[in-house]
Amino acid sequence: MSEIGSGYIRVMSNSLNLISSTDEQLTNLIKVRDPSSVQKQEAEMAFNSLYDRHAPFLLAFLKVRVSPHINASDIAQETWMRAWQKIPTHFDGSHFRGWLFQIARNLLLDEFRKKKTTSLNEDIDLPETQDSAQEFIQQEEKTKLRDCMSQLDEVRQKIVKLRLSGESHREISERLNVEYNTVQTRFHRAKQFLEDCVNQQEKETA
Amino acid sequence: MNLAAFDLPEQTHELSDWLVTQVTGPNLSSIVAQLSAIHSDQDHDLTIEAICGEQWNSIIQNGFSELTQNQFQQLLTHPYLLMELQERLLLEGEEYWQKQFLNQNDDSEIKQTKLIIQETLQKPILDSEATQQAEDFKKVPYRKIAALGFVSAALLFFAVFLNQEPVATPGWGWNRPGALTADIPADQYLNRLADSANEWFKKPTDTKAALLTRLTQFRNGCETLINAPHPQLTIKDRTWLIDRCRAWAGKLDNQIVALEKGADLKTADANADALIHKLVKALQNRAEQVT
Repeated sequence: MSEIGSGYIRVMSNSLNLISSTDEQLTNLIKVRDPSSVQKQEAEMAFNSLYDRHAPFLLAFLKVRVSPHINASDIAQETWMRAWQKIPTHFDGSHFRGWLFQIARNLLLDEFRKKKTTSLNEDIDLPETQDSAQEFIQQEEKTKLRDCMSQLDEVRQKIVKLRLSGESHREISERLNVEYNTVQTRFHRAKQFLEDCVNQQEKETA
Repeated sequence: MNLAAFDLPEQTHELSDWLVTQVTGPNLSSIVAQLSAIHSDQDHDLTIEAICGEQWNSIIQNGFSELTQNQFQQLLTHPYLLMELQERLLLEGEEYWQKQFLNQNDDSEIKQTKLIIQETLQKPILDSEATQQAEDFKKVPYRKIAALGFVSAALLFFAVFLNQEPVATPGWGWNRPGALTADIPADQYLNRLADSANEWFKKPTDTKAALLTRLTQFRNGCETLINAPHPQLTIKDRTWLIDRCRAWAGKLDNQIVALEKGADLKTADANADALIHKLVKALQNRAEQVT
C-alpha cells in the first residue's frame, strides 16, 4: 500500500477515536504536530474536535464581555488561532476551557485598550483589568439609568429597588404599608418613566 | 434601551427560570448594568460561595431550582457576581447547563468561524514562507550560496559574541522551575509568588544593559504567569492575579521602551524597584485576603 494510502487510513481511523478522546489526549496530538502531512492532519482533526466541544461556550463567554463596537466572533477566531499556536508551549494539559477563556480575556483587554486609545476621548483613564474594563463597558448604561432613577420620588425609588431585589408586589405592599394595586401601578409607571427617560438621554447623546 | 431587568417574575420558582435565561443569554451584561444602577449602594464583599454555600453542587447539576428567595435576592442585589457566576457555570456546569448554553447559541456563527479557522490552518504562513524560501534557494547560483553561507556564519558568530548575556534566560523569579506548580494553599502560593518577585533585588542593576536584561527577564516571567493555569487559586483570585499581571506587564513594557529610548538609568532603576515593591505588596495583601 502506498504511504499516502496508509496515512489516509490512519487518519480516518483516528478521527473515529477523537470524539471519545479527552481534551488532554487531543492537545497532546496537537503538541506533537510536525510538518509531515499525516501528523499535521491528525493535529488539525484533534483541533477541530476541541473546537466542536468548546466553541459554543467560548462564544457565550465572549458575547457578554465584548464592548458594543467589538465583534465576539472575531475575538473567538483570534482566541482559537492563539490556542493553536500556544498549545505546544503554554498548555499544561489541565482544564482546556479555562485556559481558552484566559486567552480570550487577555485578547478582550487588548482590544478594549486599542479601541479606547484610538477613540476621540483620549484623556480617558484606561482600565487595567478585565473587571474594570467590564465596568467601563456597563458604565454608560448605568449612569443613564441612575440619573433617571434620581428623578423618581422616594417612594417610587423604594418600590423599584425592592422589586428589583426579587420581592413581589404583595411583599412590597406589606413592607411599605401601601395598597397592593398602588404598588403595582407605581412600579409599572416608574418603569415606563425610566424607559422613556433613558431613551431620551440616548437620543440626546447620539 | 429595553429595561429587561424590570421584567423579573414575582414567584420564586419563576425567578429560577428567568435567572437561568439571563445568565446563559447574550444580554447578561445589560441586566448586570441595570441591576447595578438600581442597587448602587450595595457593598462588594459578598461572594458566590457565601451565597450558594453547599448548594453549589446542586446548582451545577440542576440549575437554580433549589435556591431560596433570600439567595435570589442576594444575587440580584449584588449583580457584579452574575458575571462570575456565568463564567463558573460555563466551566463547571454539568449537562443541564451545557444544554442551556447550547440552546442560546447561534450555530451558523460557530460554523462560519470554524470554516475560517480551518482555511487558515490549511494555509499556514510559516509553511508557505518555507516553500517560498525553498523555491528561492533553487534559483540562487552556487557561488551566491557559498557567499551567503559565509556571511551567515559571520553574523551568527557576531550575534553569539555580542549577546553573551542572553535576554530571556529562564531560571529566576516566576520562571524558576516549579515556582508555579507547587501544590500548596492559595495564600501560601500568592506569598511564594511575592517571594519569587522579590528575587528582582538579588542582582545589581547598575548599568543600563543589566537593568534592561533584568527587566526583560522579569517581563518574560510575567508572561509565564499570565499563561499558567494557577490551579491553587479560585477563579476570582486567578482572574485578579492575571489581570494584575497584565497591568504589570504593560508597565514593564513602558519601562523597557523608555530605557531603550535613553531614559536616565537612576530614574529607570528607581521606577523599576518601585513597581516591583508595589506588585510584591499587592500579592502579599491578596494572600492575606484569601481564605
